[in-house]
Formats: sequence, structure tokens, C-alpha cells
Amino acid sequence: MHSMSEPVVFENVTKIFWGSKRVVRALDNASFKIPSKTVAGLLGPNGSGKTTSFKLVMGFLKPSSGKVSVFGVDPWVRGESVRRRIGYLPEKPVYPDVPVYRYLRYVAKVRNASEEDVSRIVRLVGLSGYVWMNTRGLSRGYLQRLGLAQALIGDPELLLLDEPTANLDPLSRREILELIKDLKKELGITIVIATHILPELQEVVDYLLYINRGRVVESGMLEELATRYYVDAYYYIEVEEPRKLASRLVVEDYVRGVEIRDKSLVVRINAAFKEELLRVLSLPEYSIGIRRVEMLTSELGELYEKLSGSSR
Amino acid sequence: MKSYREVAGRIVLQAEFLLSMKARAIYVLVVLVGIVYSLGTVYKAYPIVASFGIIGSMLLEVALIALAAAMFDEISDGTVQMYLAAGLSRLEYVVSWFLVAVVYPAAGITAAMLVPALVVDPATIAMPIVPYTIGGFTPSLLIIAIATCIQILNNVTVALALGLKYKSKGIAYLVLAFLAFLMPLVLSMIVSFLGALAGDYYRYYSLYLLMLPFNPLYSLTIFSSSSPIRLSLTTILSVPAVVALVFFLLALYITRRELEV
Repeated sequence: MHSMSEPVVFENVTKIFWGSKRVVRALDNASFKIPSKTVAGLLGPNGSGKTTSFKLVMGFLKPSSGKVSVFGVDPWVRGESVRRRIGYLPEKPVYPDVPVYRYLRYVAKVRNASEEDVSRIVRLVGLSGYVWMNTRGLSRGYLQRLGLAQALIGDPELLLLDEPTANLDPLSRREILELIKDLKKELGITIVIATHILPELQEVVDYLLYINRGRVVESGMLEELATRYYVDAYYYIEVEEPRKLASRLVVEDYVRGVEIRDKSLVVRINAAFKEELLRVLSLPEYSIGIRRVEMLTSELGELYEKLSGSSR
Repeated sequence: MKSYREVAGRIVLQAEFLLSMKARAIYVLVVLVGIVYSLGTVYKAYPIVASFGIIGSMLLEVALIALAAAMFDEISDGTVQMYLAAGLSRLEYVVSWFLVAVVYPAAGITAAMLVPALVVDPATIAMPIVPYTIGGFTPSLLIIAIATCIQILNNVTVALALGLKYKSKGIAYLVLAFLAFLMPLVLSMIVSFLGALAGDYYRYYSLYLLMLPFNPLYSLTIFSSSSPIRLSLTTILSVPAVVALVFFLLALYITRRELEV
């Protein structure tokens, strides 16, 4: 029995596709867990097994061997009960050819959600002016909003977003990212984002899973990985007198940058020097005014390069 | 504990959603075929009934497989993922397609055949409409309607089940073409050819038994009182009905065990 603190658990999962010309091992003995209430980034190059992992979580595919467990049950066997607790945005969604509102009402009926729920979500994702348009008439950006809307109906406990900003123009990409950030803040649910575009993950993820050629290369909390791989990280420090602390920190040779905000600082250091930073912050002249210290994010590009290097 | 009422509700909901998108033209055809059939009977236009009945039901089966082919398109283009992601099970999805492409049309054509006759002259329902007897019965409009319904259920179900097995609408078309057109044609040719060679037309008549599990409409004609093999009406109607049920269960088994999307 798996702990409910890990909604997704893969144990030695292999998925093989038997084609007429070649056999593809999309996942190869993969084992990982996604912790509850995290925003997890599923990273890896194209064809690394990200979409296959999502399809296994959704119960669309049957593992060739190994065990997939979602909310403690096998999604291949009891897929519908699992899927009603998951919001899923596929990489290339194909929607039924009906007006947007009709499609969302249909999803709501299947999930026992109310009409009010549909209206609220339509407003949340910014689709209000497009509900009477046919799904096939929507632009790429609005199709992604529709994808998010259908995924959010019925208050899912887990969101799976497969390349949510792929093929979007910069403005749409920014809007979708802001939406995901709002979801993280407001709903506090587990979100898994599969992507190979790093900047978009930088601001939202706190857990990383890197897969390559179907194998899990590395997984862990972002802070833990940043420390392990000596990657630059950004720390947020809420403090009474930010200028005083900033002037103390800039003289430390491991500090690579300090940005003063209203009543806080954002300090960039190599994550390996975290203990050094904490030591300075614990000095009596600074510690009194400090209210909060947390890692904002780390340099994902750098981490990605190191992980790619280690998997070659 | 899974509530079967909820499952049935979701199947009907999905079937309604599919119907509203894809099936209007087919359902107009269903009703038209039924009405022509029925009025032909009421006004005793038997040649129309006999030829239109068999050819019309064949065309209808092709139209229904064309409708059901949309299921294979949905599986290959990924639309099915959006339905399943909403919270349907694979079984609910496939059963809803059976409702749309098999059960509703079969029920629709039976109703369309019987209702006009009831309105014009209720006695027509039990009136013999073909000039031969089968196992002591003379087929009435009611019997023909039931046979048509079973033939549609049988042929489309078998084609859908085998199409699902290979995830191919091509296979479904092929199977339907074989059951509805090729098998009767080829068997007639073989029986006639071999009979002509042997100088005895009825010598190889038992080959027609191959059609019994799939073609009740043909069987009504072939196993009449004048044929050397006599089958009861119950056999002619129940064997293909049982075969349809077996293939439906096979489709459910394939869906549950193998259908990846």
C-alpha cells in the first residue's frame, strides 16, 4: 500500500511498443514517485518517455512490466476512478468538434461537476468570449486554455500538463505560465509538467524528474538537486532591514548577486554554499530581523545540462 | 462499490453526445429505410419489400459501419483520450459506440418498419408477406422486422469486434463486406457451380448453413419449406442473435484487456 503523500508511484515500469518495423522501449525499468502537493517538472529530451509516463498514469496504456500506482490503485484496471481525480492536458489534444461550452458541460456531467463550476473555470482561464465557438475554430493559445479548462473541471487532485506551452507565441506562453502559477498558489494541488522548454519551469517547479531514453536519470526536490549538482540557486529572504543585510552579503565571495526588493532580498549563490549563507543569516546582528528564508528556484538550464551530461 | 446506475448513465450520456455530433444523417436513413419497408408491406408491394428489404438492410449496415468507423478515427487521432480523461472507462466508451452504431439503429429500423404498419392497418404486422413457409411459419412483417434487427446487430457487432481486435476500421469494413455481400454471393455461386457439376442442385445445399450464424434475412429465404434442409424459425433467429452476443462479449473482453489509446 502506497502512502497517500505520493499520488504517483512507478515501480520498475517498462513499456515496450511493438511496431511492425521496430521495437521501441519507451520506458525502461523506471521507478519514481511524485510527492503530494508539489509542482513537479518531468524533464527530458524529445522521445525520452515523458508522454508515455503520463499515458501510463492515466491508464491509457498498460505497462509491459512493473507496477504503476496512482492514488494507491492501478490505473489500467480502475482507470475511470483514477481519471476523475486527475486533470489531464495532452501534448496535442484533439477535441470533439462541438462548441466549447457544450464540450465543457459534457465533461462536467461525466465528472458530476456543476454548471457553476464550468462558468467559474471558463472565467479563470479567460475563455469567456469564446464559449460559443467551435473547438476546431480556436487558435492554438485558446486551445491550450480550453485544455486547462477541461482539466480543471471537477476539482482534480492531480494535474498532468504535457508540454503546456509548446508551439505558443511568447505572449500566450506567458499567459499560460501565469495561469499555472495562479493554480499552484490558489489550489495547492499536485501538478506535473512535462516539458523540454526550461525557462517555463524555472518559476514554478519544486520537484524535478529527469528521464532520458526511458530511464529515470535523477529525481528529487529542486533544492536537493541544486545542492547535489552545484547549481546556482536563488534564495528569498524576508527581512526587516534588507539594505543592511545586502551590504553584508555582497562582500561574501560565494554570493553572485543580491537584489533588494521592498522588505526582502533575492540572493543568488551556488547551492553548495547554502550552509555558508545560513551561517551568515544566523549571526546575531542579522538574525533578529529575518522572518523567512526559502529557495525560490535554481538555474534549471545549468542543472539540465549537468543531468544530460551525467546520462550520456 | 461501483454503481451500475452511474455506469449506465455515463454510457447513455456519451452515446447522446456522439449521436448529436455524428449520426444525424445515418438516423434519417434508418427511418427512411424502415418507412419504405413498412409502406411497401402495407400496400402489398411485395417485390419492393423483398428486394428493398435485403438491399436496404445491406446499405444500412455499410452506413452503420461508416458511422462506427468514427470510433476507430477517434482512437487513432487521440480524441478518445479526451473522453477517457473526462472520466469514462474504456468499456463505457466502447459500449456507447455500440449503442450508437448498433443498438439504436437496429431498434430504430424495427420501430420504423412496424409503426407505419400499425398506424395504417395493425393487422399487417402479423400478415404473411413472403410466399413461402419456414418450419410451418409464413414470415410476417413482424418476423422480417425482427430478422432485420438481428442481422444489423449481428453483422455490425461482428465487424466492430474484429475491427477493435486489430484497431483497424479497414478490418471492420472488410468483415462487414464479407458478411453482408460476399458470403451470400460466393456461397450461392459455389453451391450452384458444384450442384451443376454434380447434376444435382441440392447436393451441396448444406454449405448454406455457413450463413446461418450471420444472415437471418438470407436464411429465411434459403431454408424455406421447399429446401432440403429445414430449420425452425427459432433456430434461424436465435443462432445469429447468440453469435452477436458472443461477439459483443468478445469486444468487451478485448477492450478491457488490450485496448490502449
